[in-house]
Amino acid sequence: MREASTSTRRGFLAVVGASALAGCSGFDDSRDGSETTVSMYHLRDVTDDGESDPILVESVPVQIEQSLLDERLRRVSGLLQRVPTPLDQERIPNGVIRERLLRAADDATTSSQHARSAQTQLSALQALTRARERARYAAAAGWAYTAENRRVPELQAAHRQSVNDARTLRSTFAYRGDDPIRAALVYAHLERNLDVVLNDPAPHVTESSPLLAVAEWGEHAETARALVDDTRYLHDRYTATISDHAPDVEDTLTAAAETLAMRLRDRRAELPPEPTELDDGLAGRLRYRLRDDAESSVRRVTGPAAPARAVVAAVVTISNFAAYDQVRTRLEEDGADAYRIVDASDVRELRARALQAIRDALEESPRPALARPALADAATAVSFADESLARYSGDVRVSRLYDPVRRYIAAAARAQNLPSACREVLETVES
Amino acid sequence: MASHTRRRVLHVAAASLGGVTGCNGLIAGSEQSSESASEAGRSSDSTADTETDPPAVVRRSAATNPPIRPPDFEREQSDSLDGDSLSFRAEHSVLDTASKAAGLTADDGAAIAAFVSQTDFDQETLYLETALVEECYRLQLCSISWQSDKIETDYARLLRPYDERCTADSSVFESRLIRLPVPLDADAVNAFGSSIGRGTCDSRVARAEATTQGDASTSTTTVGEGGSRE
Repeated sequence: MREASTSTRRGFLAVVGASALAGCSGFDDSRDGSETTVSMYHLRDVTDDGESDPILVESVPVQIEQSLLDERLRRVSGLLQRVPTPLDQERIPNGVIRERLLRAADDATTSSQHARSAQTQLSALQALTRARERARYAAAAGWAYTAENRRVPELQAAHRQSVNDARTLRSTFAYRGDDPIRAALVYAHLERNLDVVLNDPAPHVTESSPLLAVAEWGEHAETARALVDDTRYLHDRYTATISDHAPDVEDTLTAAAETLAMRLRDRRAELPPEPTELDDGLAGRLRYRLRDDAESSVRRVTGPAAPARAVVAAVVTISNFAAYDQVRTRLEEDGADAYRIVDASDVRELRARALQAIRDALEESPRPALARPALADAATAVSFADESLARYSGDVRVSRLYDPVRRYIAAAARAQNLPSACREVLETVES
Repeated sequence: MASHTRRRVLHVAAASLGGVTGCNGLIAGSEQSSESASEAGRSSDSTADTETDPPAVVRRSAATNPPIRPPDFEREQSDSLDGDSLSFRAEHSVLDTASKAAGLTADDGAAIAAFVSQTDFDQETLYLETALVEECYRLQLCSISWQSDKIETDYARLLRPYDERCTADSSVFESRLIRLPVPLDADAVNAFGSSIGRGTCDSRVARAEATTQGDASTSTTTVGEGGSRE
C-alpha cells in the first residue's frame, strides 16, 4: 500500500468520513407528545459504531485455500497501486469525480479489512471480490487519466471475454456428487455467480464523465473476471474432492426442484387475500411484508433452469410461507397486542429472540449447511435493522421503529421454521 | 410515423426522466462566466412548439446574483422579505418587446445586448431561465417547448471534466437567454415547467426512442439505462 497521505487507508477514511458525517443527522423531530416514544439511549449498545456484522454468514462446502485469498489480496493491492496518487485537487480538480475515486479506493480497503476478519472462507473471498471491483473502479480511472480516456473499448472486450468464459464454464457443469445436498449447495453458488456474469446489464454510466465511464467499465469487467475466476476455482476444488464414481445428481436435483416448485405454486395460490383495509401499524406492515416475501420468493424456485439454486432457495421460500402463517395466526389470536412495543426493552427482547432463533435453527436443522443460506439472509436482516436503529438518537416515536422491529420479528419467525423447511427439502431430494 | 417523431420522442423523454428538478432547483458555475451561444441555424420551424437547440446565450456565475438578471431584478430583490432568495420572476422571465429586453442586466452586458439586438420581436421572443446547479455539473438544454400560456424546458445534468476545478458541495447560477421563434405574449404565459435528468440529451433521446418503439410492441417496456458509451 502506498504511503501518500490521500491514498492510504487513513487518508481515504479521513476524506470519506468527513463527507459521510455531513449527510447523517442524528436528531429526531418526532416529539409531538401524541405517541409513545422509545429512548434510544437504552438501545445504544445494539451497534457500537453504526455498523452491525451478521452473526452468521454464508459458507460453501468446499475448502478455500489461504493461498487463494492471499493471491486475491495481492490483486487488490496491485490495483490500488495504480490509483493516481495523491488523489488531491491538483491531480483531480473536479471535486465530485475526486470523491467518487476516493470512495471507491476506500471501499476497496474496507472490504479487504473485512476479508481479514471474515467468519468464513467464502465470505472472505466475497469481500475480496468486492474489494477487487472497487479497486478496479479507482484504478481504471487512473488508466484513463494517463491514457487519454481510450480504455472503454479495451474494458468492454475484457468483459466480453469473461462472459464467454462464463458460458463455457457453465456448459461444463456435470452436477456430480456423492451427496446430492452438498452438490446442491456448491452448484447453487456456482450457478448464482455465473448468472450474475451472464445477466449483469452494462454499467449505468449515468454521469457524462469519460473518466467515470472508464471507471464504471473497469469495475464491471473486474466483477465478471472475479466471479468467473472464483467459480472455476470452486468448481475445480469441489470436483477434486468427490469420488471418481460419484453419480450424476442433476436429474435428482431437477426432479426435486420441479416438485418443490409445483408445491410452492400451490401454496402461493392458497395464500389468503391481502387485507383490503390500510393498516399502517406494526401488525399491518408485518403481515403485508411477510405475505409479499412468501409470494415473491416462489420465483426463486421456479426461475430459469438452475436446479441447485432452486433446491437451496426452496428452503428459504418454505420458511417464508411458514413464517407468514405463524405470524398471521398469532395476530388473529392476540390481535395487535401480539407485537406491541412500549419501551426499549421490547425492542431489545425482539432482537434477542431473532438472534437466538437463528442460533437454534442452525443447531436444530437436520442439515445445518442447507439451512445456512437462509439463516444468513435472516442474520443480514437483523444487522440491517440494527443499523437502522443506530441512526436514531434521543426519544423516538415508536412508529418510527416499526421497520427495524418488523425485521426482527420476521427473522425470528423464519429461523424458527427453518428446521422443518430443511426437512421438507431433504425429504423431497431423497424421495 | 407520427408517434416516432423527434418531438414525440422528446416529450416521452421529458415525461420519463423529469421530476428531478426538485433535487437541484433550477439555478449554479465557474468563476468565469462561460458561454455557449448557438446562433447558427437550427431546426427552426416557426410553427413548431419544440426546439432542441434554439439560439441562446448561457452564463454561469458563482456570485450571489444570477449572471443574467431580468428587468427590475435589483428592485424586486431589495423588496423581497428574504433578500437572498431568487424571485420566481428571476428564474423565469418572458421578454416580448425590445424595451423590456433592454432592462436585462448581466455581468457581460455587451454580449447580451448584442444578442437582444439581433432579436426580431415581431417574430421572436426571448425567454430567460436561471437555475441553481452543483458546481461540478453543468446543464445542457435538451429541449424547450411552448404554448401560448406555457413554457417548458428539459435539461441534462452533465458532470464537468475531471480537470476543471470545482467543489463537490457548492452550487452556482446558470442563466440562459433563449430566443424562441414565435412572438409570445408575455402576460399570457403564466406556467413554466422544467425537468433535469442524467445522461446526455442524445442518450436520453435514444432511451426514449427505445421506449417509444417498445410501447408500440408491448405495454410492459420500461425506460432502460442504455446510455451512450465512448
